Amino acid sequence: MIVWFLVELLTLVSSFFIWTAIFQTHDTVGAYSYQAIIKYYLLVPLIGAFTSIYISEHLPERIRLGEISIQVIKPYNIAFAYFSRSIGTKLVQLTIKLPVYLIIYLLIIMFTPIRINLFYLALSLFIAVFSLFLHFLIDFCLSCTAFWTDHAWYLSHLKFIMLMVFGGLTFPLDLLPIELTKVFYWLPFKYIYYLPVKVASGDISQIHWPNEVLFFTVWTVGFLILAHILWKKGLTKYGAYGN
Amino acid sequence: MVLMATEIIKHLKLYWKLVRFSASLETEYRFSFLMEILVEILYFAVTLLAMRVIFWNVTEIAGWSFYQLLTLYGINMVFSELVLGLAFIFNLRRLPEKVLYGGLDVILTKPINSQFVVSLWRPYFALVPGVLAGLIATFYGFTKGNLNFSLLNLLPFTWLFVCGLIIAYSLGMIITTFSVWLINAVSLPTFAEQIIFLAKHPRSIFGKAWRVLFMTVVPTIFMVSIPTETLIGNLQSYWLIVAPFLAFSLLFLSHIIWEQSLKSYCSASS
Repeated sequence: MIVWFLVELLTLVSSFFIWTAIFQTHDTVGAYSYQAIIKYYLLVPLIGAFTSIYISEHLPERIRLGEISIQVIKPYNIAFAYFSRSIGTKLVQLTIKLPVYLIIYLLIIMFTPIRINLFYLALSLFIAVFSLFLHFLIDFCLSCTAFWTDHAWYLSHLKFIMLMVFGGLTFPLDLLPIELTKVFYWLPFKYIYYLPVKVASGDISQIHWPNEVLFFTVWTVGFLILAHILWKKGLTKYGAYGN
Repeated sequence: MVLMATEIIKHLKLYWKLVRFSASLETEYRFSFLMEILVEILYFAVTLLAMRVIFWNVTEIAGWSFYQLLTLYGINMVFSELVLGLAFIFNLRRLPEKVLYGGLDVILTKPINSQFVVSLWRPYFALVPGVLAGLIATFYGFTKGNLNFSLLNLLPFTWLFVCGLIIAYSLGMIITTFSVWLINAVSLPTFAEQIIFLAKHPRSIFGKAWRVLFMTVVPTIFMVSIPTETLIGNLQSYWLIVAPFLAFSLLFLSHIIWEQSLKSYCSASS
């Protein structure tokens, strides 16, 4: 856990070095001041602590190896079981992580001019709960493709790459040229990192709430239906020889 | 001296056999192999896109233009693919697991250097297209950025690049070795990789204190930034001496730490 925290810290430090160097010769980059961009990268791991999910790292391999047989015959929904287990794990992780984040937050308040509005932070964490559900559905759909392939290790990598590019994990989406931003905004990945981070940083003037709620609902319902279809169809292909 | 040379030749011969064996193993699962290549290329593309996004908004970063940075990132791609592919993906990443489940026992009984086995046993062949992509990016950065390529710079570049590889390998080995003491430290190789990933940044982005740290204690600057500066014609002659000194000191240190860790290792299962 401590080492994972250090890994996150190193990623943050890496972004910090780059942006500090950039702002030595620029006052603003896009719509971002130095403080705003540092705040963005500080909030990414915090939001990620709530919205991240890793089902595609385990479930596809279990499907491929025929290890879900016992779960399939039990009278409960396997997707719900995985979601519940993820929530349980997340609660344990958050219990450990939140005091650390709180200390970091206090240090930032004391030693830097960066300010985080607690109302916006609470609002973003409220949104993050829904984002977690959408993320789970995307991850579950991706995992279900393991019914049709002999190799599944790459699925979690593909999802991570999607999140890095389209989710705002590597760079804020509003730094992209306007044409690309329009395309990226239509995709569901921004709800997992970018949008909650923007809300937490209080930068909500550009957010068109009715549209966002509508798109989010459409994507969630779409993935819910897709997950159901993929699971049902996948089970007809499922084989567990010798298990 | 003769004994040492014999040992090196023995290990090189063995490594060549392992390379051939790994190649046949990888190509057995062709779809998986293709996906490995795709994932590697996509990660590189994401890094380039992230850099492009910054350069859509600024014209230079710490004195580096877009094409100079593209050259640096291209060389970094070659570098990180070699380090990850040769030492990490099938080797050091699995060390904590081997310690936890007793897989290290079998290795220790073999009549060859155990550090060699845990860190270099199986190369990852999907690194080859990644290396090619890095070379293409470097070539493109050089051409488009009107950078002067000189064959005279190629020799010191290669020297420093190889030293950088040894430094990265040694740092990775030192950090991952701690899993022998910590037992269930599966994330230690990832931590080591993250430190090596800091090498992609140009030296000039670091403040003075950080620069001292990254040139001495954690010498990531010697991995990619300094070889790239050499290739584009900014060689400082003292690098040619400091880099091998650092490389072989760290390699020796990694060996000492590995040997020490084995004294604390107690078998997990057998």
